[in-house]
Amino acid sequence: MGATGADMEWMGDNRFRKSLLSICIAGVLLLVSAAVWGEANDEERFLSGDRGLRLRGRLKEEVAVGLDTPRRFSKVKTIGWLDAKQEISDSVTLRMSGRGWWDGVYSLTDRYPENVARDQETELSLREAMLSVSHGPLDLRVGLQQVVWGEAVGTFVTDVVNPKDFREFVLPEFTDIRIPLWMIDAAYAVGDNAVIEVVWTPEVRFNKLPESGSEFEFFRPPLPSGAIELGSERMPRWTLRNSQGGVRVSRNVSGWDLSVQYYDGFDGVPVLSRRQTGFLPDGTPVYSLTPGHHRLHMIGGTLGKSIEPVVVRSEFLYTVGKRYGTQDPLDDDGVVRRDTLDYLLSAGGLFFGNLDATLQFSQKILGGSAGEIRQVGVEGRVTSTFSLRLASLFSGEKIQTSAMISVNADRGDYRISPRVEYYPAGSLKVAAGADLFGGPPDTLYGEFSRKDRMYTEIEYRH
Amino acid sequence: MYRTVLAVFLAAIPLSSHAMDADEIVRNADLARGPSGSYIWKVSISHSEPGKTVAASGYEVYVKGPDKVFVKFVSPARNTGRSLLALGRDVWIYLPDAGKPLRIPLAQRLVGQVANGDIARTDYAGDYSATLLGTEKVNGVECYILDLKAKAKEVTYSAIKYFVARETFHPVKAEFYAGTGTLLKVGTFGEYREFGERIRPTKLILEDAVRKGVVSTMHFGDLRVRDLPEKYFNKNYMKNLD
Repeated sequence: MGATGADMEWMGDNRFRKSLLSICIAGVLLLVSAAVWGEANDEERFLSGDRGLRLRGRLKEEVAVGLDTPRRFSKVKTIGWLDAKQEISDSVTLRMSGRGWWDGVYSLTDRYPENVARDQETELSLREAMLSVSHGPLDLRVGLQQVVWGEAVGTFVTDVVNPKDFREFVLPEFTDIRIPLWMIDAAYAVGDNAVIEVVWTPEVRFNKLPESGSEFEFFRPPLPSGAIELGSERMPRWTLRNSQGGVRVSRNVSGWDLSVQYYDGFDGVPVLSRRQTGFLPDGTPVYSLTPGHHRLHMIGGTLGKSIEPVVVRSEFLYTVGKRYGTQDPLDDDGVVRRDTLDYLLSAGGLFFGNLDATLQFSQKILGGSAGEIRQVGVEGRVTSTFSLRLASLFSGEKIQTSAMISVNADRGDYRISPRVEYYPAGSLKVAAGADLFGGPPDTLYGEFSRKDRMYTEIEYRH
Repeated sequence: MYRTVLAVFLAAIPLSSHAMDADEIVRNADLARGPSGSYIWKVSISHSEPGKTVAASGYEVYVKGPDKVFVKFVSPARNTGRSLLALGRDVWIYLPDAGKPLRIPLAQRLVGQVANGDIARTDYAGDYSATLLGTEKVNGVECYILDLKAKAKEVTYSAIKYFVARETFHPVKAEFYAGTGTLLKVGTFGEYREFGERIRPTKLILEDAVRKGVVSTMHFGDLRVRDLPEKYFNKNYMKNLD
């Protein structure tokens, strides 16, 4: 169950020093958080529009154990968040927030290679640095931020503005998965129930993918037979031409929340382009593979409506210029364009007085044959997924049980995530749960079928 | 034929005047529960079940007219950052973890026996058609008995049996029913005191009609009448008020 003796003995000097540094960072976060405690208690100052510095903090310990044999720790992570908001005037607000973590699993075990430890052992990052100015119907937000588009829960169909950090798959909270960008977000209210929102960012960042050898490393399709030269990722520079932006118009019509959106930006997912550069003396072909990010035009829309006691939601996104890697040896560069439609239908509500249930159905439809495309999450021209979320409160609302079940209708790969949360006090949360995966190893969930895990969390908020 | 038409016409006169009276009573009772216009008040909710410790939560409720309510979750710490917005019968919740407002039903439970609509939508006169059934003494107070039927599906309850004091129009008691006719919970208004230049109830006890001893109590306090900016009542602005 725990780390093996050999694991515990292993602790390189370098890593030990890093661990000490990380403990110091976590300690500082804890101390600052504790200092904030007195401030946070003084809620009265922030209520009723009183101006002042509002500080909030969170400290969380996450411990996960892999269920595959031999059972070993896969996470011993201390995470801290700090969030500050200063109202400068009635219409100007400054917000800053940061996050830091240390994952002790890289010191406790030798299960993960050095590149993974370097990437995931510690992090200290600014998550928000934003000036918000409102004037009449105009609301302007400038700075490092997340812009969240979409109606549905637990999905990124129309949530296209910020790139994502998938180093722990989609298991963390979505606000922690989104990578904030330096951008301008201007929203203009038209009348009582319509808003036009324009976003623009000069920053070019892509999805952060797990390193090779990490716990949630993605399935990699087989490389072409021959000698391979792997080129470095082509990173577009920060130029006006490479800047990204979009517009969203939302409106409430007779109780229906409707929105349409357009976003012009880079694909966060890299696609390997293949080029034959020559032959080895024995006649073996030499290929150069270069990860690249293609420009996309994304047109989408959402709707939401409460039809008591059920809420229905829907999202769609049509992506023009989407590229996929193909295994077809006759293809020039191993990359094919397939404009893609993603859509989602969802219905949820409270049933039997205490069961919060949401059922979602989503499909990805390629505008052409899936042919030799081999990418997780693409199981053919049409890929269908069902998701069910259940939650219930017990014991005077001190205990919440929940479960998330996602099943791919095409190949049967699945994710089941049961969870229990206990609130012993207003600021404290204790949780335990599991993430169970199954299915063929080249599918979205099946690729982690040997990464089932149980975890516990303790979180303190103030 | 003439006689039939006349009979229907004559029968309709007392019915319609009765209905008007009933609506007037409900409007007066609404005004007793909260002022019209723009104001903020603090609401705390305690919830208890037999053998369980009491859970408490705090809210700040921003009201602008009968159709716009913004609710800020103040305590416990795990709820801070959340907020609720009701524009008419449309309700959204902002969850910091999701980073966006999510559409939710009015009838969905907020905490304990308290539904979103109990805190975010209290315009009974706007949401229900009232019929006066008669009078009855409740807790020693002579009350009108009103049968309130939902005007639309998108309201918190399908029906309410409402008991309003004859003399003062103070709400005294309410029985809340589901669409099936099942009694869901019983509300008792109490602790009347001067509040915003009028005598108002500062406590509403909601008892589960099925599970005995399951009780949520809403305490209303610190009411401040003040003008509130329109932007507070825009779902795209909810993140700013986090």
